Amino acid sequence: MTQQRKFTFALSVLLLATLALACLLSFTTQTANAAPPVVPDFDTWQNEYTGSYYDNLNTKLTGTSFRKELASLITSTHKTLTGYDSLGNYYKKTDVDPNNSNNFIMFYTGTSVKWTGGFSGQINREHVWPKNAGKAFPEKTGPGGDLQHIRPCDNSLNSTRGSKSYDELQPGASGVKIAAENGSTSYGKAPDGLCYTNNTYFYPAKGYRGATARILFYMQTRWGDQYSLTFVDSAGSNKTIGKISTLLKWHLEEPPTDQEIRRNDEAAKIQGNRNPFIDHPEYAEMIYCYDGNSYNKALQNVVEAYGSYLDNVNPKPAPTAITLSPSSLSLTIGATQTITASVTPSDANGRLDWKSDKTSVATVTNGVVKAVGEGVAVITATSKVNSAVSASVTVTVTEPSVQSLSISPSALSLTVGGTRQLAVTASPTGASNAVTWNSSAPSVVNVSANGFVTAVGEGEAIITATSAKNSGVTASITVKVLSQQANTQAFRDAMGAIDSAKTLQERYSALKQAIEAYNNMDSTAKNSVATEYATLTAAVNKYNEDIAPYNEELASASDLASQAVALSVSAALLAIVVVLGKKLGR
Amino acid sequence: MKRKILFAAIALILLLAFCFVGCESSDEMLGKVNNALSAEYSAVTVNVTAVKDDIELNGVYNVTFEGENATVDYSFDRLNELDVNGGNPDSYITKVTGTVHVVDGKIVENESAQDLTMGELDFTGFSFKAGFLKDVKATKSTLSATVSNPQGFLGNSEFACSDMKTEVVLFGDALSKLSLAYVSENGAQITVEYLFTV
Repeated sequence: MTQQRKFTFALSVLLLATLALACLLSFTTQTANAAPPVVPDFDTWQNEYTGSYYDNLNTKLTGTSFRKELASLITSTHKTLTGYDSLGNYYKKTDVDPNNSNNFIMFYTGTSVKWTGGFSGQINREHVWPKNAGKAFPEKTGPGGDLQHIRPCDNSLNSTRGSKSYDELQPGASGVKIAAENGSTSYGKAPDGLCYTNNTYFYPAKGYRGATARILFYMQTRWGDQYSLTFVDSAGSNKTIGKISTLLKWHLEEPPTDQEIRRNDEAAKIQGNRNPFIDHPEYAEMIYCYDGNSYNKALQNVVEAYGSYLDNVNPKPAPTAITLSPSSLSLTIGATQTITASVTPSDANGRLDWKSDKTSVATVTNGVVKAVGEGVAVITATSKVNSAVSASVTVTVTEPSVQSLSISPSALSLTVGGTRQLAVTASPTGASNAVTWNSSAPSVVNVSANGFVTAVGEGEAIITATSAKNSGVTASITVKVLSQQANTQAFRDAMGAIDSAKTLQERYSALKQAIEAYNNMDSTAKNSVATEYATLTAAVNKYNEDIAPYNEELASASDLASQAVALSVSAALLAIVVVLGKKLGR
Repeated sequence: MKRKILFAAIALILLLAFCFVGCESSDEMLGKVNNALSAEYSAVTVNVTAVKDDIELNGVYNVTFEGENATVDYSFDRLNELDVNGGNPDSYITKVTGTVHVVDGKIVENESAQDLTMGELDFTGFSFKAGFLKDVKATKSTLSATVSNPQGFLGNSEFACSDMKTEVVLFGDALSKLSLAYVSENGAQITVEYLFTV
């Protein structure tokens, strides 16, 4: 090679190297290293939202009632339904890098990536609540295009996350790997600056965990009714997502960041509604800790462990004193009474911890005292925000005197060798059930000290219970001991009575007698009535089906009564709704 | 002739006087009832009866308020299911009783604070509007009417019944008693009675 050609060649190589370096540098600046938002400290975070958007909400509600109000608000104000295909234009407002107007900030990581005008490159659109190929909700409209929901996200990270639920993962644990972003696993500072994944869960980088939770709370509130979207405290699928206890933990550990707050404002300008869980993080625990789902207790435990926004947001002054009313209580066993607490000053934080110093005497939950056993207990209420402030009430629990006894069952037939445990109930409520038992004919029926009867010989015996606290109070039942033959006949007589029964009461009585007679039989006798037993079983099932509508009529009427009154008269009457819904099995 | 005219005039005057004293315009009374529904009460007792095929089941719910807290003492009838394995109650009807407290918006029952299933509240409460009622009869303290539009009256478009009637008794500006009677979709005779204590 001549000198000139060597020089030209060297220059070419140098030029190529320079171009390569320029490309490399260009690529690097096109994707700036991840810079997740600064996470505020929970204990010092304060709500700065001062708008009037939420002014008409009844914040005394909790659970599904409050969710319903909130859902109505963010739905009715959702004036512009953004579409999946148009999100790029909106991201220029909501997700632009404040330090580089040509870039968007990627969700989950905080990486800044150049916007090239379309989604065919590095940037994709992440359905934080998985669309599940359209099974959960439409991929591109409604929730599938909601600007408060869909986030710009690295294409490969979006693919890696797929439809997984969210949970914390331990870096280095079996099956856990870093979720790469644009081919890199070093886009952030390990461990918190990186995302992790396994076959089931996705774990966003720090700074995006609370944000993920708040997007999902928004989705469930905004679109949950329309598309049956629900939380679970495990890995979700199709229309469910989890784990809600982890999500709530993230929500508490990572209060809304400035990035979220700014984005919420921008999104609201575009589509009309706001993400309420950014403006009022306390709404999440108000709803999901009390919405009647199986995860409620777990979420309450999370709040207990990690703190409540109700204590931190718009903090009230700590109380200087607590006053309890009544100042003392006298209860009989089984009775309950509410202690009302007031704090000084009146606008102080009123959250209290309640304790009983003798739970064998009285228990207390949220100020409701239940008398459990004789004695004296001290109930103390202590301020959650100032443990030096407390007040106490002395509770004296007495046992009411026994007025009467009743034995169950009220009548009994057995065959020789048969046994039954009798139960005795004293009145009034709380009176001692302690009794002594006696049989009028021990050679027929023997009764133990705790009311266990054994049929010894054919005949009749009167079993008497005498109150141990008031010997003048007794109750008795007659126990008949039949031969197997007589018992089998009694069974057949009862089966005949079933057929001729005209009323529900008659049917119940006959069926009950047949059931008791059958259960008194030995195996030989049972074998002899196998066919009739099948008939009995069918008759019992039919009876249980037949009575259901009667119970349902009372339940429906009571439900109507409670709801109509509740909303007309007082919010506190919602108690009836809840009581009836639970007690009537509806 | 003159006497007849005089008697007729006196009778008319007396009738008008009676109406003036004893009658209330329906619209005014409806307004009073609606206002009374929004008032605060220290206690409400709700009596519910469902009668079907001569089987009568009753429920009584006594609610007392103290500020935002409430205590609900309940007692309702339940027809007992049978178990072929035995252990069945003596009577075919059992009365279920208990007490529930509402404290700070949470339900406290037994020893655990829990928000029992709230469910969706489909009712918006009574609405005593002329458009939902007919045959309205009103005095200064009572109102009775046939509910011509139960769905509108109760604020629930899915509620179905027939022959709904309502009666209200006021004590001053407050409710004393409010009752509903109707026939359910399945033919049960239902009565609901609210007794209010200011």
